[in-house]
Amino acid sequence: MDDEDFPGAAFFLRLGRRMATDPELAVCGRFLDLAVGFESDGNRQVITFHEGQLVGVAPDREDGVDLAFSGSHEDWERFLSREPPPGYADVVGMDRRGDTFSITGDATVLARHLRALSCVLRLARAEATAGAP
Amino acid sequence: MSNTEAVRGGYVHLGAGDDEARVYYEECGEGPALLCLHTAGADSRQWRHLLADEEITSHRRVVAFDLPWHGRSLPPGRWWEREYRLTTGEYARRTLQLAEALELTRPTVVGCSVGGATVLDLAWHHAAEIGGAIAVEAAAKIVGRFSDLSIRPDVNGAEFVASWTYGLMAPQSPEALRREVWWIYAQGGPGVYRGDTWAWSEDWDLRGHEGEVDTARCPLWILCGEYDYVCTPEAALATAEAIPGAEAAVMADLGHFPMSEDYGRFRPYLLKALDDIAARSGRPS
Repeated sequence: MDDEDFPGAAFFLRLGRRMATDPELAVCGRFLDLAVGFESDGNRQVITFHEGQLVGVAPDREDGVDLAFSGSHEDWERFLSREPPPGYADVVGMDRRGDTFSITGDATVLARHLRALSCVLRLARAEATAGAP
Repeated sequence: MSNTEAVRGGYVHLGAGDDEARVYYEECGEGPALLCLHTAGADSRQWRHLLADEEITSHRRVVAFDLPWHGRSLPPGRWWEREYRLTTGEYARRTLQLAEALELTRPTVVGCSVGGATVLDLAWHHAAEIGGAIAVEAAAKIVGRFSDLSIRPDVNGAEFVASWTYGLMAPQSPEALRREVWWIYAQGGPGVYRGDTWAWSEDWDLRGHEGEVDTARCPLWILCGEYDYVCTPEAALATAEAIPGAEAAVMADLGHFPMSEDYGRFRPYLLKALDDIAARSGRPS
């Protein structure tokens, strides 16, 4: 896995810089305080968010995570593409399929933070496709 | 120069006593009626692009209404003493009440999501009272959408419901229009989306009764956006296949809210269905 690509640490550090200047996240992310796992084919990063900003990237976390998004490389590649195909445009929909992609954790936490997390995932897509033709 | 839309709004009182509801509707145009049903937790604003489509309103009377508890329609009497749970039968009952009150003779009905399920219900139980049916994002059975999450005190139900439904749209749809759908959802009353999804994914079930839908009396189209992951194209097509005489189309680059998220892409499918229904029912298109 290339550290520059999702879910590499360098990718998330770039995402953090993008989040810091995003006007929508400034509006909706104020209460986003979570540790979220992102896993692709066994490659995992735990991202710590505080007040809507990315403040930590680590392969694991002693206290565990609040939520985790796990899928195959193909799931993430399709989701993070500029124009995701049907079935890969939304993580909740991908989880609903019940196959290679899953969201684990407290559903209430997901509901509470869905707007801000959707914003983060939109920025992740923008980061993944930046410079792509 | 005037920049005023031709659409007109009004109120009508439906029912009596504790059942009475002051219902808001919008309309535009003259001719055979096309009556529009909104989705769960939303209101008639979802149909604003159709109401402003002069090519259609030049020969059709297009009417969209807010179901009681939605938009500008207030809940009926003593609403605070009961849990809100809709059924497709109740949505159909209010639809027929409105049609009678506005003197819409055998209107063609078009509805989306729970509105689409209600259109199927109308075609099944009230074929003599409607002139044609277009069920959008509808299937014989939908599962897994009824949830208590939106009424929990530790969840902002308005933001959650709006964000949950946002992901049902196609990424190709213009962002401003997808955000408009989000905004309308965020304005729903507490517990209303949840109550509507009771109708959509718990109460409604056409399975085993598809053959009872009389498409000779009431021509039926089912339309489904390819990005809808709850009412999937596979489910919509299977339903259409099980209803003798029903027509169906999967709409490319559209999701669960085609009439709102990208009316321009939705319009050709709608026109084709309207023209076909008019031809099959012997009425002007």
